[in-house]
Amino acid sequence: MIEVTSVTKKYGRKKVLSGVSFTADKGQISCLIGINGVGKSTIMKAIMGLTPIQGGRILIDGQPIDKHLYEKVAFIPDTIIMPPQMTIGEALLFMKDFYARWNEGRAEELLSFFKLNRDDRISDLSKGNAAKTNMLLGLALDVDYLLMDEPFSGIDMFSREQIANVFTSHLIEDRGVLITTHEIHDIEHLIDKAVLLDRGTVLKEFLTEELRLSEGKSVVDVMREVYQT
Amino acid sequence: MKVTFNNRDPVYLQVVRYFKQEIATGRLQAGQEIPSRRELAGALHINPNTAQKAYKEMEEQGLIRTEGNSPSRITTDERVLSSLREELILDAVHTFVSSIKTIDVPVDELLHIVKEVYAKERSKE
Amino acid sequence: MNRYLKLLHYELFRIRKLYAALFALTLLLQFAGIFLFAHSYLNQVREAMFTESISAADYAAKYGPTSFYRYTTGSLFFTGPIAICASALLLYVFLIWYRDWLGKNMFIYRLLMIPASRMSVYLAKLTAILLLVLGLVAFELLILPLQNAAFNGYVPSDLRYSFSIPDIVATHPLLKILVPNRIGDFLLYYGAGLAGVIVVFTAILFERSFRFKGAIGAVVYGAATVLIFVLPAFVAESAFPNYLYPRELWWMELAIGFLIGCGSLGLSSYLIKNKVTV
Repeated sequence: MIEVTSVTKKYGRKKVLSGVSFTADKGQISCLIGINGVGKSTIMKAIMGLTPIQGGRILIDGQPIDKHLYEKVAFIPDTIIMPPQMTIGEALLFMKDFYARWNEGRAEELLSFFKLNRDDRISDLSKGNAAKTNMLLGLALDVDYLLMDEPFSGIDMFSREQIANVFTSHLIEDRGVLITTHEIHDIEHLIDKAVLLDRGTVLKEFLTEELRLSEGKSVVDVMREVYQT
Repeated sequence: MKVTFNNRDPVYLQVVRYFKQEIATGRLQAGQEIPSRRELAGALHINPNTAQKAYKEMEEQGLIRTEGNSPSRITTDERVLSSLREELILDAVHTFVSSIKTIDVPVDELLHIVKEVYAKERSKE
Repeated sequence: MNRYLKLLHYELFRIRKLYAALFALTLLLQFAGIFLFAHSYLNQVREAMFTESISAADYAAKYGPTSFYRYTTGSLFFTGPIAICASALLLYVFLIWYRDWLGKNMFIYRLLMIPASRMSVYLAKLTAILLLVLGLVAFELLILPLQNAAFNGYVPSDLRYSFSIPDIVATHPLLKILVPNRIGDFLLYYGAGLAGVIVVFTAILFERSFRFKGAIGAVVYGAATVLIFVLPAFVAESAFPNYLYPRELWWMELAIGFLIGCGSLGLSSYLIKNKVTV
């Protein structure tokens, strides 16, 4: 379980997160929802130890982030983070070199699933293919938790569909997935948990199926209630 | 396999209902093998956890059976199968009745209209 | 350790083209310079021989012969490439970090998420810089005898002095710093250089951790270390002249440099682990 407890974060004098708390469980898809600039990416970076926090605590299966956990949690940022002059093949080799949990069979499978070409240079990829390569580099790690920042934003419809198919496949089975989005429509029925954020705080955290069962409300219904009052 | 989900009912219950319809109409036969959880998730574009939950629900209701490691099958239990048909009919009737009762039509007249409309609809098929 | 070596390999791999260009530039300019230098000298000799009707030996006796050493000190073609390489590497001390942060693809995300101590990323970059410097110096030493031979082949022996390569290296104002004669000086110069790079790396991490405020802190930090390094020697020389033997001063500077290096390394380690932000 990823536990985020009362996390505060400031950039200079500007408070970006003011007491954010939520959990993301293994075997579930949790989704941080909020408009751009509410601190979704900052939360992701904080979980990965890529930016310091000023208060609160973040634990992954009871442990604070350290180098060993990078074999347990993978982060897929919203842009590809491999050097542009690398080819896809070289990027895969780099990952294989550095991660004990790199699953080569899965990487091959994803390469053909996404129809990507090993010899293509990263700088030459279309936005959709860059996003898929970025996904591949995270998904081919045998990690327990996957963090994905805005996996659907800024790419064409067909790439979106392909990436959405990842969420209905064995690729994420039994893993804990935490994604951020500012656009819930495409994936509303895919997520197990929704965490609604606004201006650095969590407004509501709920399991989507439970809420549908008990109150007959969709995620969008809840968002309407929460954000418009 | 194609289901259009609404976002207000639990997705796993919508999957269960889909299976009930398929069984009641005979598109799924008693004892027939059904897709694995993984295949179902892929085919319906739902989260594998949801597929898992739907199968669990169907097992609890006795709609499907899973023995050991072999794939799940539709039940051969006649009682369950026939009650399914009843359940679906009753469900539909309840929905119908709850929306018609605000209009306050006498039952005989209503039945007459239902018969006519139903016959017309069927003749189109 | 394993991942450190892989990172080091990668750091060297990604600079290979620029590095090869530096080699090519040095080779080309320094050899071209020999021919231009010798050519213009020989022209001068020929002109004097013609106008004053003297022999080459007379010329050498009257105006003095030339030498390869004179070329290495007097021609920009020799010192220029060394200066260019030095500035390029100096610039790369900054770029080796900032290239991972700036630009569309932030490779620093990946580097910081490698399942190894973040200091292995740091040390790989540090070692890479050190190896790049040593590689260029070694290359210069390698081509120096070849240049000498080319020079000697071009200028007739009665018009030139010959120096041995070790003598040239030991007296040349630039080369004697790059390749000190004594092991003690080598340790001092390269140790100071290494400590300097560590201080710059620490300053970069300050800036990358606290951005604008960090940049101010970085400048203050850099100035403070320079002061700490220079001040004892300055005080010793000006306030108590002849109080310390040169050897003692050398030891003191070495110790201070070592302490600055270690302190900065510790600070860098803290920053990259706890404070750095993408």
